[in-house]
Amino acid sequence: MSELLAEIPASALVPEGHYGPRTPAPGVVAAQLSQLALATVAVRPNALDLVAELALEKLGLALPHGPRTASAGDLTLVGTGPRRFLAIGEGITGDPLLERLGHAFGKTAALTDQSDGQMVIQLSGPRTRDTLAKLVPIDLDPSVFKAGDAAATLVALIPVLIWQADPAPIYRFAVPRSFTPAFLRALVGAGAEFGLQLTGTGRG
Amino acid sequence: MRIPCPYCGLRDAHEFSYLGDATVSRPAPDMPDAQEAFFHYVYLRENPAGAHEELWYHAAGCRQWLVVSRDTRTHEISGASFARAPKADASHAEVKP
Ligand SMILES: [Zn+2]
Repeated sequence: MSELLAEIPASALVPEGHYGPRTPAPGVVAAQLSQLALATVAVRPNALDLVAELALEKLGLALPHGPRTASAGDLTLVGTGPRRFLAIGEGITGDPLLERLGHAFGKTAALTDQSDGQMVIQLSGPRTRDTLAKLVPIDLDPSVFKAGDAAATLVALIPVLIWQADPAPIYRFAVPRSFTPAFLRALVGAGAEFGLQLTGTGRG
Repeated sequence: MRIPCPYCGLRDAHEFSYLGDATVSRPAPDMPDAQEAFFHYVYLRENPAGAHEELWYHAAGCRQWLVVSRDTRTHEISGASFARAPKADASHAEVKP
């Protein structure tokens, strides 16, 4: 496999396919998710309470308190810092997401489209935690990191936002787009021993 | 060494960058002894053996500046708080949806 990774251009995504030993079912399923829109939400000073009210009233979701997620329908907010959130809309593009957030929050928050800035990688499968133990410097044991928890941290020196989308477990990573080739290399290197199936990256 | 970020929780020191002494504060430039005060502010630092307050930036996490209380002899950390305290609620009236 290291030979394969040596031949892929450093700037290209790792091509979709199966990496590592063939097991009846892959130990890790990794997918680059498309048809997602992303935007940062930066709440103005002293406006957090107001934004929380507006989120509940206009979007039907309880603003996450701390590094956690909250979802309503196809919209998810992830806490990334004090008064900072990443909004993720499924099945839409950036413009309608910003329109929807702008309609809800008005001038109480600054919105920036990040659909072109970040890629979202989803990990599932029975050996996901064994793979992430080699990559993520924070404790993902279910006793301390549960579905709905999020963390901004580093993977292979790459700044990422990780959140647990499902107790199964399913984890999602928002990765800066130009770092995603390196992120996928680290991921495939860590997960191949368990049999890793990668989708959504095309021919790389 | 791990730093207890008030937003992110306990994190490895590698996620932070270090600035240094958090106990100095910028003097007023229009004071009569401003030159002397700025010399102290820019160049002179205590070098305590023991409890110290330092500025750390959580670059790989919540991207906030923290004031961390660290024992310089043992690296034991007794606390951390946001360096920027929430400002008085002066601008709230201007923020309307
Ligand atoms: Zn932090």
